Amino acid sequence: MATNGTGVATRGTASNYLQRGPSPSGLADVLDLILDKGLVIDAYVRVSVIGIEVLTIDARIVVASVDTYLRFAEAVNRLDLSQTEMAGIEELRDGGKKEEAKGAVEGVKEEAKKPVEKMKEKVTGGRSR
Amino acid sequence: VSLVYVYGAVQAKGPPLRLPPGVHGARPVLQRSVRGDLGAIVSPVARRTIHARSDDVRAHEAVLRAALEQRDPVLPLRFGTVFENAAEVEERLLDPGEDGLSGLLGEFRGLVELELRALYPDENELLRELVRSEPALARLRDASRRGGYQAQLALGEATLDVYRRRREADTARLLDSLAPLVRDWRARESLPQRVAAQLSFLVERARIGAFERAAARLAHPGLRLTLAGPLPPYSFMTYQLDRGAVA
Repeated sequence: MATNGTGVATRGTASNYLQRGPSPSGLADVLDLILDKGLVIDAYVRVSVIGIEVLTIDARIVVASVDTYLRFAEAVNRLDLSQTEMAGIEELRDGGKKEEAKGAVEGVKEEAKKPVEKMKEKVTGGRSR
Repeated sequence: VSLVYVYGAVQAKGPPLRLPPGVHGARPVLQRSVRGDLGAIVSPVARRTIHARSDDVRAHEAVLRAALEQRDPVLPLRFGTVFENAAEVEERLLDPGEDGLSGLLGEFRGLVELELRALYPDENELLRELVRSEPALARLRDASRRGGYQAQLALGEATLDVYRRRREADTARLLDSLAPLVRDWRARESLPQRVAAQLSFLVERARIGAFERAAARLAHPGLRLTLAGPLPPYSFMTYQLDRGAVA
């Protein structure tokens, strides 16, 4: 049986910076795939999206707003520009450790109150042959 | 009442499918078309409206992924597709023939989806890089330390703008190398914090290895990549099969 979407393993020696897994690891990523995509047989889809899942998707989106500007400004002002590539060294030490989506700019969760319709994502694409 | 939840569609031919538990813990099985060529992966469900609960969302995905290991291709249906009964699955989904499901199955033979996410591992490091590379940003930063609210806004807006351009450049670099290896791709434009790009690729199974190697070469300490799949081609199901159904 396939794993339940949790296993993300580092594989191979080609790059320590590529994580390889059978399926998206986070619930939000799975929702991203199956809630808004897939074949639609008209009039047969009735999904009620309630509770924590909605918060999970909405919290992921960065919206250009006054709040965002102020948070970015604060983050840039806080920077110590004399600091060098310490982060790179930390990353090397961490190896393939799982990333947590937590940045210097906090408060993204405030966006979570918006209804799910608002985050209809824009998608671009291309065909190469 | 026993309604029919449908996960996806496959060719009926092949060894019996072995599938994990599905939505509401029910056991998914293959419903063959009357003609015998096509199949729908279905399980019984008691309610018409399906809540997007975490267990069920993951079950839907796991069932389709397991099917993909055993059949080719697998056409995923949108989460929450429920039919009144097996006869309706036949009539609305399986029966429509060449211009419907079987045409689509032919089109997607040998194709799977790979999901690639590019992540900036250290946002402060990225912002430092942006300020260093953009003198205008450095000036706005100095100004905002002296100035008030408007100066803060100006700095934030400019930073977001430079950040966005950096994302676009990184996305373009990824696509330059990867798009030639695939049939089709999609890029999501609304992105979470620290995510540089989120790309879906429609890839021939035989080229998964080449794609992986190319992706590995593109990853570096400042741009971590996560590659998931092979998955059913969720992002490329831009079709709507509508057989004049009355809800």
